[in-house]
Amino acid sequence: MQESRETTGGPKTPLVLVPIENLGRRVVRNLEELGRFYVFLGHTLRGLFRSPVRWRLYAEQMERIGVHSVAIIALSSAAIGMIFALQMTMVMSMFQAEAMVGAAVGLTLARELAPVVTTLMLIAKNGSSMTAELGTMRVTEQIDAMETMSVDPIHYLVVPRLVASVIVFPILTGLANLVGILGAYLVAVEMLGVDPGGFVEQLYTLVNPVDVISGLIKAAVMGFMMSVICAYYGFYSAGGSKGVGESATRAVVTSSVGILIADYIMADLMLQFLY
Amino acid sequence: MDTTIVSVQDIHKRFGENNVLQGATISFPKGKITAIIGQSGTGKSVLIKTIIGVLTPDRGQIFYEGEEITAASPERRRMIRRNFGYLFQDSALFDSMNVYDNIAFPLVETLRMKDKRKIRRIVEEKLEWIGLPGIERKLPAELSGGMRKRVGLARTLALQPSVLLFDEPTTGLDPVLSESINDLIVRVNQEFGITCILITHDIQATFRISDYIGFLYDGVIQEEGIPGDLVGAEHPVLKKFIDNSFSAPLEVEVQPCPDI
Repeated sequence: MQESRETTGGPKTPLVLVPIENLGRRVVRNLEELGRFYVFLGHTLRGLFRSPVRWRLYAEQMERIGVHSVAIIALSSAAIGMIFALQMTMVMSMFQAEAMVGAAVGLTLARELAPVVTTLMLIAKNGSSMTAELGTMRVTEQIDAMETMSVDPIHYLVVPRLVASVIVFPILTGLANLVGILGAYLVAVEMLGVDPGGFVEQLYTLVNPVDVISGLIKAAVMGFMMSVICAYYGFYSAGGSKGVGESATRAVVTSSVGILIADYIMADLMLQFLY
Repeated sequence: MDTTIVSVQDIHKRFGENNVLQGATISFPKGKITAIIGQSGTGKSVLIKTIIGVLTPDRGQIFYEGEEITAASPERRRMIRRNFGYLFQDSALFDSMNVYDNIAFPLVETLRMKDKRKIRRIVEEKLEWIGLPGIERKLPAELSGGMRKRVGLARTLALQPSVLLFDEPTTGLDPVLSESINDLIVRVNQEFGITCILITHDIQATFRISDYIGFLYDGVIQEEGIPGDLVGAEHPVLKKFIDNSFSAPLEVEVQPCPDI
């Protein structure tokens, strides 16, 4: 007779079916998680159009996500602009096309590097803390306390973070563009002797407003994604401080991978329809 | 006969494979202190969390003043819930806000009160009432466990609820602080006429301050009644609970110190 195993509180499952049962449970669990995420997303989006509008919380979050991140974004984008200029100057000099460095750096920054690097930096700095903060509030019952006072915690806690992220990410991406190109100018012109007129002229000629705007749109979408994903993981944290830590890790990984996939899709769509 | 303010009927709640509540039914008399007692992990917290709406029961009905909360629309439920207050076991104060903002929170966010002078007056009144005036600027992290409980109570009272639920209000406190919290529960009930529902392990205090007691075991209210009725209850676990709590005082034999 075939061996069997008893599941807790359920009927006996033949051993051969155990892997299928486990797979089924896993699928159901993932579908439940996905469903819960979309319910959360729907609740958050509805919250955008519901009163009261808490301007003070919006301003606080913009300060936390935006103002407090200016230095780190400036530093990282300057470094990227400088490194990219260094490499590009070496490559372009092989073709006597050093003047193209400004355009190459500007175009790459505007379309891809500035929004992606800004978002990755903000996920590391703000996304993880967003998850940890909401997760701590969850496990210490502060979110439950809000519910008992008839205050919608998603409207109070998540919506301001979402709005602030969507506004602040493009602004910081604009800053990253500016600082990145200044860094590139410094390295290419001041250190490696590229002609300043050629650098600026090629930059001005080849980088169009639509390139910059597409990067800012990407940044807004990425800000939306980061805030929703990180808030979701924090909002449904469980299992004490260990659980909060795990949620923060999952939030950072999921949002980082998510924005890279989204970036590819947006880049493809923009190449087809925008540029 | 007492009027019922809240009643739960045949409440079921399970978490995964764990059937926590399996048909709990009890009515809470208006204006009285009712305690739910039971062993750890029997679902006492789950029961009152379903009453306040933090958890949704899988089956069963909850009534407030005869109106079924479980069948109400989300908006109506939110309105009914304003009649309830809940003091969490660890107070659940907002740790990023100071004491003033914590107590003002329900006034601003729930009642949409805008008059800052009125808010200040209410906050100061509540702090005065709990015996902690002048701590408005302190953060929750700077308060002791007993102070946090009292600030949590002040925040809950700011909404002037009709029903106040206490989740293990004296857990983790020393006997003196526990006594002061129990006294506050009695004062809340007597001075404001608020119906108090508490869950606790403190059997002695329960029998001293409660008007009505329910004993939860195996996910069901096994015994209920006034404290005098429960003393003679037959349920073995309840009997053990009561016997252990009211056993004779510990006698310590003092041995003479041996010569060294």
